[in-house]
Amino acid sequence: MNGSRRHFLIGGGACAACLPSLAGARVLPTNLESLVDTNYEPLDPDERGMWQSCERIEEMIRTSPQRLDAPALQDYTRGVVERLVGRETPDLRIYLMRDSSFNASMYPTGMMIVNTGFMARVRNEAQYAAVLGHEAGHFFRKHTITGYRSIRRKTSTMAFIGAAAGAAAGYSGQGSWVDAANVINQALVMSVFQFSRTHEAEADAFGIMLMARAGYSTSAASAVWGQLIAERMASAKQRGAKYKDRSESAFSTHPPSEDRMQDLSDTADHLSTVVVTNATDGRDEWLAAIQPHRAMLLEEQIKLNDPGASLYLVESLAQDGWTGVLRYNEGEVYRLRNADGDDVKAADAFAASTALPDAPAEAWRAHGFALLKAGKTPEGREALNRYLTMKPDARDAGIVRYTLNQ
Amino acid sequence: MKARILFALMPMFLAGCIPTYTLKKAGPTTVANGAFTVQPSSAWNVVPKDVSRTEWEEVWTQNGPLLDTVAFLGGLPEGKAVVVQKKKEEQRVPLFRANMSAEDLASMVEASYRIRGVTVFNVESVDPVEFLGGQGIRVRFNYAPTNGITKKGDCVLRVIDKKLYVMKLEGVSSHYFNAVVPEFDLLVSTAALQK
Repeated sequence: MNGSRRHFLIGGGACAACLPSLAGARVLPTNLESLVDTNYEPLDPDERGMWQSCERIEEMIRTSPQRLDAPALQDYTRGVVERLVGRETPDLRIYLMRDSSFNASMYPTGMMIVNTGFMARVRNEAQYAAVLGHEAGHFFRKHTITGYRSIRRKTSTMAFIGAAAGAAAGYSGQGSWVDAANVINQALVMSVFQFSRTHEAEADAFGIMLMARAGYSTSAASAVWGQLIAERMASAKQRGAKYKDRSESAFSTHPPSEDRMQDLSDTADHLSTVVVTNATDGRDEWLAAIQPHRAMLLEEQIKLNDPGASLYLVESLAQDGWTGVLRYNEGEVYRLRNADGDDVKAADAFAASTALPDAPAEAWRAHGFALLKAGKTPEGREALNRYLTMKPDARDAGIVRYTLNQ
Repeated sequence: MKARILFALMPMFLAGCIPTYTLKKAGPTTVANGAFTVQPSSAWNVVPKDVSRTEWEEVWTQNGPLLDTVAFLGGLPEGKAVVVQKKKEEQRVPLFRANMSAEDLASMVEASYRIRGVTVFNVESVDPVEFLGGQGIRVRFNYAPTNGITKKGDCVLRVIDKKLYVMKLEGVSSHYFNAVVPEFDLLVSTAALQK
């Protein structure tokens, strides 16, 4: 079976045949019901074993130094999930993790992990809901245990032994939660990649169904992928590299992004005609929730020094209006790239940041150093003094004071 | 018969190919391809060279590289990076430039961790420091690798004649880092350029 959701849906049932707005036969996403309720318990030894592995991972995550301590954002995230599933969710535990990669994941025990690298790229609450709904789809459709059973049915003895050994390593407590989590993910990859691609496609369908029911603009789901593709293209162009959709790999568990984006877009268009009325994207709600964390989220991305991706991100977020934080980070992209002429571009961005009312203190520091580099000593010293006034206990105050005393 | 002898001798050949740790005794010694000298008060293990490190770097350890390391970088020229990286890699450490500000140098150190998947990286302080007979900068930091064991670092850097000189201590924050700090401070204070 082809991995794209379009083909997955085509393989479904007859209900869709009577829906003229969808090309060909499809199963409506609304036909995907939850297989898990709030009191769900693992049914058999396979599932109980999987749960024990996951509980071990969760124990490590709970105390990980990577965990983001942000109670308000945590509550907000749960609120979005509960709006999606239409009930309270005592069976789900949500962990916000400081990880700069674009990802979120779901475990069969109800543990949901949301990376800061995903939050950094989100433009509105509907986009956030699109990915959380997708992850919820994995949980409510019991994908992990089905994937595990698929290994037993479809792979060679050695592969199964490998998976079992990996699971044992997870139990032993050696390595990190990431290692242990990889064991489970690897197990899914090892099965048959189209099998888990099918899971991804079903989770997409489930997620978009939840979005429609909750009144979110379903076009946000394809927009998330569109933004990610555009970002990776910008990154490749900057590096002089050819853009390659990494999800096309035979070992990928995700359908190719462009196919996926198109499928999501098609379904969203369809749902908007038959299910959703007065859908919203929740832009203001998202901006209010993320504003206290945006500087940190951007720092995590910009300091990776992937200038094409970083500039795309900053400019994409600036479509909602330039802020001092965004201009400062634009300057940081140029400062770190440090190509010919970037010193001038960085200086201009830092200057622009300091002209905005919400300029962070760091913008004044960067502005000051840029002016000193350009030989504008009095102005540079003034900017550095401004930085120390705004942030007298700054962690780099020592070197800034030393610079001023030269 | 000949094949059997060759097969029997193979482990010996292979053993000869495996890089081994060597001992660096206390007392004045040169480091980083002779770029500068330091005077350790105790013996150190020199970590074997490998392809993950640049030709300008040398690494020592007391208790094993997972627990503590001291790295020496001697005379990195302009246009080079403090780490081995490919030109078209998505995430890259900024290349060294002689006109880098203290802020730029600190960012370079930070980027060398972030591109390796470290997201939680905190700069504790950036201060001036006496190093190799002149004024350099000292960056203290901590970070959380994905294995959950937090580490601390202390890095001194100075640009001399358009080349970068670095000494960096890194260790597990629970014990090993603090245990090596006095010796690292001694190494920094005794560091001298090779004449």
